[in-house]
Amino acid sequence: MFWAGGVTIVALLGYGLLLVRCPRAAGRRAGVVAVVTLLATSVALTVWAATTPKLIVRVGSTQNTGKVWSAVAPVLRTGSREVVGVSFDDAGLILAAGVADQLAEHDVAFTVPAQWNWAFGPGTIQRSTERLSLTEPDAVPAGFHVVTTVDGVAIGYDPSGTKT
Amino acid sequence: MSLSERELGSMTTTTEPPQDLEEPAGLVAAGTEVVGPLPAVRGDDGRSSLLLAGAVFVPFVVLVLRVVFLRQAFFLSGDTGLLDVEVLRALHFQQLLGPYDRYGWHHPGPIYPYLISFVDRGLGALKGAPSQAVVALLVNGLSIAGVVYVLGRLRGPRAATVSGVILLLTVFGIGPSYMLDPWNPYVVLMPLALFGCLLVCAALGSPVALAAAALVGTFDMQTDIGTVPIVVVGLVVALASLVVVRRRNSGPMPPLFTKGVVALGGITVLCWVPVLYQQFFVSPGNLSAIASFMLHAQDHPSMSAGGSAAGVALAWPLGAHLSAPATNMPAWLGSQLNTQPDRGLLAGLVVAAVVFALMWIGRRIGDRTVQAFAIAGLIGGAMELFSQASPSPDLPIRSSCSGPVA
Repeated sequence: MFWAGGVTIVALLGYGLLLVRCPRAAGRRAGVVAVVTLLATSVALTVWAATTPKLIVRVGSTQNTGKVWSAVAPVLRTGSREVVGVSFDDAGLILAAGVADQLAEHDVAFTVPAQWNWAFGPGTIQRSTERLSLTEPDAVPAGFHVVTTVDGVAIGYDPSGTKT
Repeated sequence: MSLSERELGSMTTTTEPPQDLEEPAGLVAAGTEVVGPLPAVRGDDGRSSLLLAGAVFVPFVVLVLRVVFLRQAFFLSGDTGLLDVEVLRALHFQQLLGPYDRYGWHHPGPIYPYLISFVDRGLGALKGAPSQAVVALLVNGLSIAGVVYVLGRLRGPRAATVSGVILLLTVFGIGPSYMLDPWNPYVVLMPLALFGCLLVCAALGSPVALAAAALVGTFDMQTDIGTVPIVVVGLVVALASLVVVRRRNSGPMPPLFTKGVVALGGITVLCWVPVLYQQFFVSPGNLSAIASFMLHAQDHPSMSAGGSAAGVALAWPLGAHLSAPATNMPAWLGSQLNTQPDRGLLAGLVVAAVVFALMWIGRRIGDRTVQAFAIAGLIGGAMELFSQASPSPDLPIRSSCSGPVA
């Protein structure tokens, strides 16, 4: 951000001073110089775009979601008839959204606590069939069997439930 | 003598009488006329502007290719995870609203999820994070290229070149992380710059520019509600100016309803159909929820003072959107004021000096565009500082969730 502001300001100041101090800057030659400058900037930025290593870091994040999903996926693949529950210790909606996204990507329907319905619900015409629940720690249904805990996230299932 | 008169004089081949050299060049530039779809410098057929816009877009193409060929699976979380859930619904044409907002409602419309869903279909197994990044890059890149093209048509190749260099340097300064960040408050910034340029053209009497501005503004409003005040006021002012210009101008003007106007207008109307459908046929209506949130006291702990919700919700994005086109420094400065007051104060003085220097230069060369930049930076910077330096709200969601919120 700092560099963006600095570079922008320097460019504007340089441009302005060029016009104020050098009347010839408004001539055709200066126009050619300006166009060449743009093309050179574009080429330089293209090289930068092709080589900057920071790109890969920002495209996605494994963070906790990947670990949680790695733990949830085998449970889903067991083929058993349990209803899987994911209870969150303190990560809240951030982690719930990530796990819910993975569930949706794998075509596994899910439900969320009532207070999160708005986040997942009103944007769609109809809700999917409820099959899996994401709950907060104080809302874990009685009887849930915790399979594992990953980074403060408890993953479990309800042995009495039915997986459709 | 101003830039544009000398510059335009060297470029135009018009036989019309010379322009009044004492008239300062403003947004309604001397030598500019409305004869085609967009107001254009006399003698400019748009090819040079298109070429320059293409040059600006090339780095974004490279970034898009890099993202596509990463061929890695990514896990999304927080807002991007929710956005991906919405994209999955959009793939089945079930998404009616925009990105979820932490205050318990959705941003107004679904353009953004649907744009990502189109790329999602193309990327196949690589969908998810790469699709979001590609769309963010395309939106930013096309917006910047659009700014260069419109300014080129409006003020000539020199203006296109200078704006292109500045924008590219800004992209370099910001870095790829923000250019491909799909977070909706970021992805509306560059389109907002394009929106402003189109408004200028519309105010000069171009119906196509007004229709294009309405479409770009619709994208911004539907994706981040913080842009609504700017977009609505801008469109109303531009529409009024267009009407006045067309009434006063006895010369040739472009027809009001061309194919381009009808197409752009039709797409814009189509974009609002899901929003209205959701409002009137699904309960609770999202627009009602937004209005209720803005107008009534909230049950959030940090918003117990009723009425402040609208201020908190709008001040930050409004300040950020106003200041970003001129300089991103206010955001950085605001954080400095929170953490290092002395350093922040010093930097604040530097920024103020730079802004006033810009205003002086704009006045000296008689360029109202530069002056407008400076004023926008001043207003946006002040708002940004106010919102950043004031006690930060806890930003809770509707649940009792104790963790941080995306």
